[in-house]
Amino acid sequence: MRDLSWSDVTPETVYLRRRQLLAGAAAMSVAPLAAALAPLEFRADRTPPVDEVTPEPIASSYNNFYEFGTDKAAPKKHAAQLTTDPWSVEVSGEVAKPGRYDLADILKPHVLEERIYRLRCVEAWSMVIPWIGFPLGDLLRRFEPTADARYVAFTTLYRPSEMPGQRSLWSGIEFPYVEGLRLDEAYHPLALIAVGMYGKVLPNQNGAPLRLVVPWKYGFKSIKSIVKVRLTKRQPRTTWNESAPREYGFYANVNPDVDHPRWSQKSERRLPSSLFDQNRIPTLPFNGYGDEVARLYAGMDLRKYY
Amino acid sequence: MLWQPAWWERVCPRQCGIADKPPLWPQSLAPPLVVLALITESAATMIPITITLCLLPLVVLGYDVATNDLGADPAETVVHFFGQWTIRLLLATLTVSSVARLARWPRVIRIRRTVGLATFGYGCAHLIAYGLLLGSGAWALLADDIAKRPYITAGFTALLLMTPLAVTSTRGWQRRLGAAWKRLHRLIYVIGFIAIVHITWLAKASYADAVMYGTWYMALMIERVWSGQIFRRV
Repeated sequence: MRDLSWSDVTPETVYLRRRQLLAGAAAMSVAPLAAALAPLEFRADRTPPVDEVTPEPIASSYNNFYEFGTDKAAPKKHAAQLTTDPWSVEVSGEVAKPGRYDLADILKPHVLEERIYRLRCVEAWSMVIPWIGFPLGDLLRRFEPTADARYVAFTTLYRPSEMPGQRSLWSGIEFPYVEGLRLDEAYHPLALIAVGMYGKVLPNQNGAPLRLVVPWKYGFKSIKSIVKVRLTKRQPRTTWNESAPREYGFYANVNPDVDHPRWSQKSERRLPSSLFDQNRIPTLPFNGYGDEVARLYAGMDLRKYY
Repeated sequence: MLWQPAWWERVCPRQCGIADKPPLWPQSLAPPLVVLALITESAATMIPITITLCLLPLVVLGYDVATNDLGADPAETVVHFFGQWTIRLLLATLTVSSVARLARWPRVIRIRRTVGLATFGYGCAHLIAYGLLLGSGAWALLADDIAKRPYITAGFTALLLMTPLAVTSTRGWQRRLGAAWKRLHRLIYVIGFIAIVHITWLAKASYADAVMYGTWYMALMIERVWSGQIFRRV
């Protein structure tokens, strides 16, 4: 039985201990991050039963990152050519402190923590990944959103010279990839900006150098390789919603009761699955994070706002 | 003397006793080409070769299964594999007829039945793999998928329409049905179209496959209109 609760996923006591461990590593730039994070000790006292973490080679070789091609193996094949240093993030819109921030400045004040999250792809497969990062809300608050800010919009890097998928003539989506959240969703403590996974810096194919992770939403909301953050009054446009509005909503909360028009969302294949053992498990509302996030959507018709 | 297709005269005019035509290839290549001709001109060799080629993808798949090299999502890989080979073989079946006309090589038609039946076989494997491995995980729910999801409805319809063609593919049925056989088997044009629709509708990220197979299909259809196949009464 996979009976999951918040405490299974990210025990607070574990965070706190990690915070102490990582106190010295807090002000690091990305380059030495790998070395600093490598000896991390995690999940030492997690209470059972917990999801089994997906093997790292699976999580770093089976990716949807269409900037590098639509095949699941394409990102790993092509992402090595991506330059992630130098990297800067442009912050704009309804904020008191807009500007172009160097990656080191983005990361500097934050204490990195590990969070083991389920990742549920809209294609009905899922993984469990130990991310390393910091809460998105902590980052946004530093830019001092104004009273008018109601949404946050993100943009992925657009660099066709290094991203072959962006040169494809037959792409089903527009580039650059854009995503967004309502501000209260963005401030939810589960929403994470990840810079690493499995105790190391993010591989390029997983969205280096920094990406979003929103564990209660379908994977496509968790935008990779972010270069722009914009606070807005109005709901921002999002890539998959524009590509196929009937199939992909703005909210995209994991919901077994609302099927994708072309396939059921009632269950998922937890990877790695084998040919004869599908490892098929029921999909949980909000990907099992309902106790934490369902209140964000109180009174909303989730069939309408899928 | 061996029967020769039209292209053969251009390959080795001297062997065909046509000295005034320049050969397309150097004469040093003629002996291996003669061997090729012997192989491609005999039903005893052509059909086994066709069967072998049609089964070759299964060997590749078997090897990948045995070495556990199907990626993180083997079910998806296997279903996709059978689907890909179904459309390829379907278009190959149609291509055989076009080649027979364009190369003035009517005997190549002999391999068409084999390729067509292989198409049906891969199509069935595609459906079975979907039902067993992907789908909703249970055969009972497959009916639900077929009814509710247009791209699956399309794929299933294509396979269903292929069934009478597979059944009537034998010489006996060909004789019994006479001209009606040819009319019936024109259903493959409709099936091909539905299959392309299936591929277009299931595309999530890239239309590359749909464009590639759609172009191939269009080219074959244009050839049929051009050669007077489509609007001819049979």
